[in-house]
Amino acid sequence: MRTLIRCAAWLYPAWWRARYGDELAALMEDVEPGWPEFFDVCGGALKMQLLRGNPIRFIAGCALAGVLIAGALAWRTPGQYRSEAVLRMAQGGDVEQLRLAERGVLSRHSLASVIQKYGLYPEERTREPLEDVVQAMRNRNIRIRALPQQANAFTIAFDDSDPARAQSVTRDLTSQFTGAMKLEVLDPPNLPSRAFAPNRVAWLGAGLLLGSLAAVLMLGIRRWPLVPLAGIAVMLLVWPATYLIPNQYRSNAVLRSASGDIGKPVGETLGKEAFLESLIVQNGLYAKERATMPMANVASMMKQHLQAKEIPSPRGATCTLQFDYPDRYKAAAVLRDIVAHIETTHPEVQELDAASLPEEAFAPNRLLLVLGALLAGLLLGTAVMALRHRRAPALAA
Amino acid sequence: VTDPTLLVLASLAGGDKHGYAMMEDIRQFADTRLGPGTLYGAITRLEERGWIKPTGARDRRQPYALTASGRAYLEEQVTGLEQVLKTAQRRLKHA
Repeated sequence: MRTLIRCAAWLYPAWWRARYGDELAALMEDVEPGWPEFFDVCGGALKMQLLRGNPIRFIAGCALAGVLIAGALAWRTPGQYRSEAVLRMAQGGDVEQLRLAERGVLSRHSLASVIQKYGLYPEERTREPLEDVVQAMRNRNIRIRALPQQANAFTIAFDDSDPARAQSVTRDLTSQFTGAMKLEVLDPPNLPSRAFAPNRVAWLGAGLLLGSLAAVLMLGIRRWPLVPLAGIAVMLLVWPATYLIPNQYRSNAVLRSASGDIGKPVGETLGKEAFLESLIVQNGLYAKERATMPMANVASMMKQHLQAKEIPSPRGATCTLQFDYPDRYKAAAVLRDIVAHIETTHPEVQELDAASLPEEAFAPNRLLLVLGALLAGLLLGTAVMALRHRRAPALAA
Repeated sequence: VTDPTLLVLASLAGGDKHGYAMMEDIRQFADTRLGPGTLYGAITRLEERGWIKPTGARDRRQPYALTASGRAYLEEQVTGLEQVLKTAQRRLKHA
């Protein structure tokens, strides 16, 4: 412990060590040091650096500490391995059948059985309902993408901390696809040899940035304590609160009408409450809301998440259709159903771009919210400091 | 009273002492255990303000003494504290 405290004493500024270093060392020979003494010396060194140290060196030291902490965390975080398979639909294959197969593979029943079979997400399953675990699995760990360079080909991938398990789950999902329809397996699920995440270099960069930022904030606290403290407090309150807001995924489709009027067919379809209610039931949307409010209200809420915008196009009347939902697969599936319904009821309308499968959530923008909270906190601190100074200048000084 | 600077001044009012002796003295009369970082933080501030000074030959176990301005500051603080204590005692008697 004495050696550790001797090392901690090196955190003091050089001028301080030259003046008091020997005395502190002599004092440590007289006392029986423990962890409280170690942390007390660390705290004393930090205060002395803030009060009388070189600010540039202090920022550099904090940045180094940030890099070391981020490095330790990055190397402790288990790697994520991605196993991928490439499948192809036979020439003239039915796209609708493929969509049905995808819906079946990604259904709650199918994914729940995969989770049980491979013992996935043991911790999450103790904390959250299975419905949420399945949704998180769809959104985060399964990737199905069309291959633009090969007609009718697509990839299916699954991410896991165990490479062998990632391969087994991908193999299972692939066999579910091939069992549902005739597909050719171009590349069978691979056994990943290298983890694709975490990005350790990015973690080190973030540690460097956060360490430097913390040093600047601590130096700010020394001179105008209320301002950065209010900023940090509001930011720390808002940051965890942002995770209470569910992610929203947006699926987009583009439609064109040969008759020159796209607004009418789209408006008619989106205005049919019975149709929206059937979509809600078929796709299992808004489960929590349906338990607490009448179906008509849920359908009205769904309308708010559906948007149609006419866009000028030289190829005729065109519009984009958007649907926002917390489950990216359901967002795309619902939009596909709506487009299919419009095409059936209005033959003059045709699909230009199929409903997209969103990769990333478009809302909430957590970084923006946290930065906004930091700014609001800084302004609040400044206002309170100005008010205190105005009421009692001597006390505030 | 938990202010380390006041505790160090009170300890040195009883005579010159080095760091460990101050720690032990404060532990006995105030029942407060000052850590080494806190103690030397207070010593640094007090010496900068000229309220204490090192005495005798320079040594690893350097003794410190109260200066005249340090004594005046301590007396001022003690008078203030006495005023607070007297008021509190009087109010407690009549409560």
